[in-house]
Amino acid sequence: MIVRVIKLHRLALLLMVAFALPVRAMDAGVYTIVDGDVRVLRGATWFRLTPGARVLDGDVVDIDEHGQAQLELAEGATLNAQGPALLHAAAIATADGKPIPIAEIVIARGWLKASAAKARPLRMKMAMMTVTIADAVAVASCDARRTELFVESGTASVALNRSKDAPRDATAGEFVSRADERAPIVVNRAPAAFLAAMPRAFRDPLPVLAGHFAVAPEALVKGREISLAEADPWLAGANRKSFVKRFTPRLADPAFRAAVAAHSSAYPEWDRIIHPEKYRPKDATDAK
Amino acid sequence: MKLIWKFNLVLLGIFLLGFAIAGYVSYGVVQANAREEIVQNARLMMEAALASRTYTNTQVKPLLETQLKYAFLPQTVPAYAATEMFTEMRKRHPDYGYKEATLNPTNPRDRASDWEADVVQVFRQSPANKELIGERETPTGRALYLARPIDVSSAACLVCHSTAEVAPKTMLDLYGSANGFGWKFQEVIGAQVVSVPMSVPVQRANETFRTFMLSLAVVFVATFVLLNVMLHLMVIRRVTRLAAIADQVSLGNLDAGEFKSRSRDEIGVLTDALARMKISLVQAMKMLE
Repeated sequence: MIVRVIKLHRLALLLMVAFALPVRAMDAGVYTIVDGDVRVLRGATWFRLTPGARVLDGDVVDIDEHGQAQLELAEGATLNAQGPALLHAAAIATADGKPIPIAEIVIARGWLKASAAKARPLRMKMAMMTVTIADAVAVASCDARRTELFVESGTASVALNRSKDAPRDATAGEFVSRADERAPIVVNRAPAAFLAAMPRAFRDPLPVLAGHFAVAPEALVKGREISLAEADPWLAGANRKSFVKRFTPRLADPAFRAAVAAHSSAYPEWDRIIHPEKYRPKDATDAK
Repeated sequence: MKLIWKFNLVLLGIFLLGFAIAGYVSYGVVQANAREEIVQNARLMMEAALASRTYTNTQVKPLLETQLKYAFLPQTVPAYAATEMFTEMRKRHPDYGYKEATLNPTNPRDRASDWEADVVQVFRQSPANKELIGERETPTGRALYLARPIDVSSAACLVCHSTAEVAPKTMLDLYGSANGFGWKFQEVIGAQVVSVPMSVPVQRANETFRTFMLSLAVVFVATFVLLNVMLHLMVIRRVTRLAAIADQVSLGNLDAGEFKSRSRDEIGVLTDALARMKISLVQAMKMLE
């Protein structure tokens, strides 16, 4: 009896230790190329990005005008962005670090070239269209009002944002452009203007360098907190809810809070925090 | 006619005949060597062109496959690469030429001229003919050309040269849709033509021939003179002296001179015989007295 109790205790101890040990998450991806001034937003803080840093779910990457960043996701998708560019790794990995079946990256602006393996499609959300590629390579350029896409190889599924049209496939060699939510223009070759503006490096295949970064670098260099002006594009975007939640701690910064208060109508979610007096229950005597 | 003239006439005749034969043979040999040198130069150029084509096809083009989706790069075309290589060479050797002369080319600069078209037709009519060598006059002089057929040996060629509809759009952007289509598998569509100037090797051959003939002439003349001198010293002068003495003896002048010779050659034997004959004659005359 005593022996059995001791064995049970040992088992309990082992289980406690096992659960207490931190579970090492799978690397969802790696930043394999970082050139120029490139920073990543984690939480509400900017960090200087360095090659070899792991891609985390929720990363917002800001690439300077002459900068470049490439992220390679586990199991095959690669995205290279040339600055000035701004993108958000909206859905890369689950909470325990496992890769999501279809990785999703939101691109606010910039030039990008992406490739995705058949087993790991990549969805790119841009202002005018959402493009999903699997076993394909595509080059795109976008900003708030315009998106241009060239399918270099394979087939891309193109869905027009805020449109009732069904998604269509764009095949290798096709060029799709859409501006100001008008009807898209589809031609069977990339226009000269697009080619002239496209970064020269995109004419070559994307290099695969993840194997060079088996070990993550030391902690990234911390920068400042995000300002309201920098947060605005995300607060106005499709993932507003998650960014509101993410940037709420910034209200503790008086400058940030004051900026929000000056345009409080644009941030109704924070009105309760900035003006708590509006939401206090009325007095019983007032009610009488 | 004197002996020496007869001898000289015969010698001159022999020398002239030999000179002519040697000239004829040596001229043929040096000209053939010069032509062979030119042909070898042309073959070497042709092999260099083929090597350039292979290098482009196997090493350069695979690296630029992705770039080709954005803009057509003529540098990936083997024919273009070979032609450009020789264009660079021609900057320092303008008399040499290389062209992938084609009846219906994509790039207009490759269109076959009249005589090149004739060469291509020879290959089209005689598929077994794999090489053609000929000569032609050019503004810079006579040139030898070496041509080999270009045929559509791979279905990969037809990606760009069958119809405009299936050709890469980037290629159409550069060259248009009017040229370079309609090729058929295994059809002879052109010829690789290497042109090599003949002037330098031929000039060298002519100089060699002139030098050789001049030296042969000098040898002949020297031999002629030496033979004359030797003939005079060893035969004619001695025989003349013997004849003069014999003549005097025949006229009764037994004291005209002695038949003497230190050599044991034929003239020496004749001299000794004449001396004995004189002695016998003197003795006979004495006996008659």
